[in-house]
Parts: sequence; C-alpha cells; structure tokens
Amino acid sequence: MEDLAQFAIQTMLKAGAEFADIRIERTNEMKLEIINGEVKTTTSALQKGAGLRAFTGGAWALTQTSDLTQKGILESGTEAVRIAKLISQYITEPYQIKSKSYQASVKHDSKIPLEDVSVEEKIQLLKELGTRSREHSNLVSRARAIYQEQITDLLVSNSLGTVVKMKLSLPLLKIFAHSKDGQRSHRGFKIIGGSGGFEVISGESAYDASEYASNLAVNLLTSKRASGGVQDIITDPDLTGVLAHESFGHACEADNWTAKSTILIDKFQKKLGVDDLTITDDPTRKGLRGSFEYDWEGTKSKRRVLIDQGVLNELLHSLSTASILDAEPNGAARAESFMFEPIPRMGNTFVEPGSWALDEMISDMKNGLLMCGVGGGYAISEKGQFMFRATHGYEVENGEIGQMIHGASIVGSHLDTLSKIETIGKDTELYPGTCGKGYQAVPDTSGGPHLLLRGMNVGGS
Amino acid sequence: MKEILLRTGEEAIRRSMNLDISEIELYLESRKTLEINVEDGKIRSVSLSKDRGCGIRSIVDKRVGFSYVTTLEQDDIDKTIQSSISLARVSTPDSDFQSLPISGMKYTQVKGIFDSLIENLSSDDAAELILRGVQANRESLSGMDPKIIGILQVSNTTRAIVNSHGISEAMCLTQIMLAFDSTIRVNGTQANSYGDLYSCKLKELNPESIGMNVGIKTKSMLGVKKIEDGEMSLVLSPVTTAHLLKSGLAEAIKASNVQNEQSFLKDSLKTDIASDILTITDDGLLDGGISSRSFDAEGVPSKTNLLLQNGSLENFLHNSYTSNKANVENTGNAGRQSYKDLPLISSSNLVVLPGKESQEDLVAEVQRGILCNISGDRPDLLSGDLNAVVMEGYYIRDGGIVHPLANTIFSINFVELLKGITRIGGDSVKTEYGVNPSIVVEKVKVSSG
Repeated sequence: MEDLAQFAIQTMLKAGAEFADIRIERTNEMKLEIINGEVKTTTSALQKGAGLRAFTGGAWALTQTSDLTQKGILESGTEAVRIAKLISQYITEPYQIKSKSYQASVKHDSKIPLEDVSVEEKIQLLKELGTRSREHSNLVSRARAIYQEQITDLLVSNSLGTVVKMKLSLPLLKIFAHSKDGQRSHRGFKIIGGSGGFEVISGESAYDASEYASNLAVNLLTSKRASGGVQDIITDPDLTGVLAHESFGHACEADNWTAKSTILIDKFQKKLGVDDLTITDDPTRKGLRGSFEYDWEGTKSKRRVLIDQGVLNELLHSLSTASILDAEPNGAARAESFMFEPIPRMGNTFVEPGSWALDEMISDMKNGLLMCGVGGGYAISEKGQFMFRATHGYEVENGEIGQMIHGASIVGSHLDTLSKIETIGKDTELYPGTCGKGYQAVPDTSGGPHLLLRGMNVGGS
Repeated sequence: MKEILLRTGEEAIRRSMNLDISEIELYLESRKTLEINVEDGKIRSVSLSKDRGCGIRSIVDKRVGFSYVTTLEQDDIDKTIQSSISLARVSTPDSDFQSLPISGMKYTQVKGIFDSLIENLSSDDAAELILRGVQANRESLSGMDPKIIGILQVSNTTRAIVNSHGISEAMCLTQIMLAFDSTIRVNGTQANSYGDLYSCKLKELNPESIGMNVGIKTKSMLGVKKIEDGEMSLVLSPVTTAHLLKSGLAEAIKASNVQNEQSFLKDSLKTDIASDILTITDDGLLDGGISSRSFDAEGVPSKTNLLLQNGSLENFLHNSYTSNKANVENTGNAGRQSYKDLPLISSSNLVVLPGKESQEDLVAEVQRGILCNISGDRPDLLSGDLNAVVMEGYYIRDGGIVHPLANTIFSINFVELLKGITRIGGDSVKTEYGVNPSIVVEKVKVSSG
C-alpha cells in the first residue's frame, strides 16, 4: 500500500499539485443488538478505499476511490488536481501548506484483540447483560444491549514525506433499560467504550453499566418533570463533559476561525472564565475512545489546553487552518472515513478538576437543580449558542438533594456560560461518545468534574 | 447505471441460489456527489465523491443478517453475502418475520426527481452558482463585512433493489442543496442567520434569492434580547413546522416504535391527537418532492398515505416487517439513508394541508408571543415532552415583531402542541422533510435566560 500511496502523490505532484496527500483505509465494522434476550440485529461492514487530496493555489480538492489499483489511483489523483486548479482561479488569498513530516507505525493496545473474540462470545455478553437488567426489577420491561466494533487499518502519506500507519480498535457497548409502571414509562442507558480490545467493554465495567441503566430507568418512574426558568444548577461529570465539548470545544476548532464565524473570534488569549477553569483536549491519553497518536493528516497529536485558567489559550488545527493562521499544526484533523475531508475535531475533551467536594457545592448552591446525564445536545459556534438535555436530575432545596426530576434541558451562550461557572468539583469522570460535525461522525470522549453554574436558563414544564 | 446495478444484483442473486438461505436482498447504490465549501466568502475546498456499494440482507429460517461493502466488485459482493449469512445464523429466529416483499406490485413513476441539468452540472458552473449566492448575501449586508459560510451539494444517485422473490427495480435521482450562513458584528455584538434550499431541479435554485434572504435575516438578528417568561402564542415558521413534524410526529408514528411501545402515540390510532384544522399526508409520489421515490427501501411501491385527518390519527408508517406483524397494508415507508443501513422506517414528504394566510397575517393576530424561525430540537419519544431552543426567532407584541430573541426555549408536550394549533398559514415551503406552512400554537410556555 505504501507504494500505491507514493504513486498517488507523485501522480498529483506531476499533474501540478503544490501539496498532495492520500489516506488508504480498510475498516471492518460489526454491530450486534439484543432485545429481551433475542438477537435482533446483526450487521457487519467492509469499507475500503482511498481519499486523495490535491492542494494548489490555495484550493483543496478531495476525490475518493474504492479502486485500489494504479489505474484507479491515477484517475482519482488526476481528477483531484484538475478540480483544485479549476477552483484556484477563485482564490484571492493563496497560502502554502507548512508542516513537519512524520514517519510512524502505531496501534491501539489491545489485551484481547476484538478479532480474537467470536461473534457468539460477544452475543453471550449482551445476553448476560440483558438478563441482569431484567432480573434487576420486575419494572424493567425491556432490556436492550448493543455491541459495536470498528477495526481500521489506515495509511496516511503526503508530499512532505509523511508516512504514518495506524491500526485502530474501537469497541463500544450501549445498554438500555426501559421501565414501565402503569402508563408511566422511562428509559435509562449507559455507554462504555474506549480504544483497545474486548477487555474495554467486558467484565465488571459492563455489569456496572447494566446496573446503572436499570436503576436509572426504575428510579425515573417516581420522578417528576423539571420546572423551567432561570435557576442555579450543578452539572454532573457527564453533562460537564458535553458542556466542555459542545459549548467550548467546537468553538475552538480552528475552521471556525478561518471562516471568521465563531463568537470567540476576538477572544483569543483573553480571559473568559474563572481562574480555576481549565479545559483540555488530549488525544494522547491512552485507552480512550478519542485517543490517537497521529491525526488523519499524519500530524503527531498533542495535548491541547483550550482554556487555561480561564483564558482562551489554544485552537484545534488541521494543516489547512494552521497554515492559514500561521500556527503550529497540533494534530486535530480527523475524518470519519476515506470518503471525507479531515477537519479540526476534538479527541478527549474535559474540564480539569478543581477543589470543591460535591456536598460542599450542593450546600453552597442552596436551591436549584443537580442535573445529570446527557440526553442529547448541540452547539452553534456562529451563534455562540448551545442546548443540552439531561437524562435526569434532582431538585436541591436548602442545600439538600430532594425530588428526582426528568425532562430538563439547559440553553445558553458560550461566553455567558463561562462567566456563570462559579465552582469546580474535585471529582472527575470521562465518558465515551460520538461527535457529529459537517456530516461526519467521529468517536470521542468528554467529561470532567461537577460544576456549579449560577443563573442558567433551564427548559422544563 | 440502472442496468449495471440491476445486472450486478440479479447475478448475485443467481449465484446465491445454491446457498443454504431462505431469502436474500441486495440494495445497490451508486452516488456521485460534488460538494463546494465556502469559508469567509471564498471557495476553500471541493470534494468529488463516487460512492458505490451494496447492502445485503440474508434470511436463514426467519433469522436476519446484514452486511455491506463499499464496492460493487463480484468478489467483494460474494464475501459480503457470506458475511450476512454467517450473521443470520447467530441471530434469534423472529417469528414475526414473514417474508421480504414479493414481486407483482404496481409502480408509479414519480415526476420531477431527476434533472439532466443537475446530472451534467460541471464543477465550474457549480462554483459560479455558489459564488452568485455569496455575492447576493454580501450585497444585502453592504458595509457590514459579513462572514459567509456556504455549501453547495450536487448529487446524482442511482439505486436498485433486487431480491430472491423477483423484486428488481431501479431509479435515478438528482438533488441540489445550497446553504448559507452569514455573520456580522456591529458594536461588539454578533448576529447570524442560516438558510438553505433543497431541490431536485436546477431551475428551482435561485442562489441570489437564498443569499439575499439569509443576509436580510442576519441583519434582523442584531440586538437580541431576553423576554419575560410566560405562557404565550407561538408562531412556527414553515422550516420549523417541517422539522418538528419530522422529528416529532413521524418518529412517533413509525410502526416499529409503536409495536415496541416506544412512542407517546402508541395507543392513539383513530383518536384525535391534534387540532381539527390539521390534516397531513405522507406523500412518496409528490411531483418534485425531495424525498419522493417510486419505491421504498425494500422495493415496495410508494404511496400517498393519509396520516392525520382533521386532527385524527389515521395511519402509522409501515415497512414490510411491521405491516406483516400487524397484518395491515404496507404503507411503503421502508427507509435507509444509503446501502450502509438496514431498512428501517422513514416518512417521505410530510405535506400539511395549508390555510390561506401569510406569515405576516398570522403574526398580526398575536397579542403576545414569539416567532420561531429555526429550532433543531425534538420531543422525547416516550413522553412527547419538548423543550425547544429558539435558534432564531423574534418577540411579538400586539401583532408586530418587536426584537430578536436571546437564549429562549419553549416547552410543551408534543400532543398539546398539535392540539393547540389554532391557525395554519398558506405559505407552504418545500424542504427535505415535505411541504409545510407556518402554524400558530396557543398557550406555550416560553422562558428566556
């Protein structure tokens, strides 16, 4: 494959590209779903092909092919250069791609490689988790467990001399428990996963996840719908993570800056939050779902401190954004597959822990909501706005945890919200997820400690 | 391409006849997509993708397995068939699974879903289209230095479905989508708006109109303010109506969600779930509809299905599995985004029977309320509870727009929203979800913080 990659790059350079790269990928995927002990869905996939990019005169063009012969690569590479040249006539501010080159061969460490575990064993784990859910309580009416795996061999090579080979292994387990009591029904779920082998999603962590989902579904039967309005809130580590990811992380992706659309455009190196607030994106942490040593352009990734003690400190770059903004590439370009262009994305994003114990924070808040779990959410960097739904939560009255609630969401603006963070917990937890942006979904992790925010707009009844 | 896909599928079916399987289905697709991205008002990148692949469903004694591959090579397809059979063998037999669709059904050709002008649009002409829109946006925000993001997607798709019961159908579709997002900053405050247009016909695309409208809306978003919380009228724009019906109603009436007791409308068939002025069809045969198709994702002919008649829920949406299970007629709503997906259930074009009034007429009758131009939220499927962020909207007082809104949510149960509809506009707009007008809902809780 390395010879084919070199052929592609030479083809594009000869055709007139100033810079060229290629990603040759082979990904095997599997998804198994069990509902109430029955195997309901079994799917597998083979994605194989190459994405070729040509850059000239400040214009990028991407083509893809699943024909991994010299003929297929020649056609695809020539087409990429033709389109880039065509588009370059519209470019008024050309720039050059500047980066170091990298040579490496890396892989996610696995104790029990996913390929070594039979489908039957994977199904057995799901069945066992389903049985545990249903045996947890007779109020659990439906137990659903989903296993997903993605095993990727990726070669990234470019005209600067980069040749990086990666083997990625990403298992994921989703456990859902549905409860029913008369006309009331609720759902609890828990997702576990990371990078590595079957050990990541089996054993005690899977059993704990099953128990968490069942407990939540059953407990929600006695919850009430949250009251809306402006309130003080404490976010749990899961919600804190999505807050860091959706409201700050996306705003720090540098393609928002080259587009000059982000609400933070004039806030670089300015103070936005309390001194204790530090938000990090670190794909170099091993074993997490958003872990990678080199990005999808072959740039070595590094720990990025997005907000450092309240100050907007660093952006997430692709080769393109770093070259335009005259910054050092920091290995944040990711693509869902060879079909897509690598763009700045987060890996493992979290708020660094502070110094407060949760009970101190609850006591300090006095009245408000403790909001927990992520039931969805999004952010719009251009508007500086975000919304998240909590899976559940609790009313806090006079510094004491009270009635369980559901149906709460929070809406806010990036800048306002940073200034509303008052205290930061000393605990921390990280959660695997999948992030969508520009039609592309990539695996990630987010998390952090509990946060106390004053005067947030809460959606409820 | 139709012939190539059909031949590839039929030959694969023939090769599979000696395998130990009950039934088999191949969904083959070839999609060419040109995408141009604009950043800061300038073309930044172009992508030309040629995505070809095949999704295969094998059934072994009522056990289903599914695999896909991103090529159409015979060797890859044969390996994928073997994969799907292996997975079927480890599945649990499903007594509710009766059969894949059987040939002999009558198909209606849908008009207006293929345009040779889109099929043959060059990269150069496409670049000119998006730049015309950029220019119009810039002119509508003259002197304000707008930061413009744009995307143009042009796709040409051929898909075929072939199964072991004789289904062998193919169709070609073209689609063009142009979207702009512009941002301005005035005296330290930022305003932003978004707009798009989907069409199957090139002639329906007016880049200047889209660019200018987004510019006008962007300017109107300057000076956002919060409002006092309370219960008030809600005017939903056609785009928001479309989004909420797709994510709320269409999700809740998918027969799979109903049969799994995962829908807040599971017990609501033939009951009043909405205001008696609301009538909605799901029209897979709509001339020029963005989601029109002559057959669904299992090869079943598309239909025009009545969903709500004067507020009464008349039908759930079915594919072959759920219709066989419920022993009712298949509504032809099997859906999948591509060959990479198992056929689930999806609405096609949701069409609301329009009223006569313009959006301005509707607003003029509101004493206190909000106009929601864009919201991206959906109700909880189990309860129907909805907390929706007004991503772009305005405060209405005494029949007039007062100011744009900041950080505002409206909260209501989705059934209460449907029942609370008091007026329906005549300003229907075609979107990727259907054809929908503005609507007015009373007594909605709004909070702003």
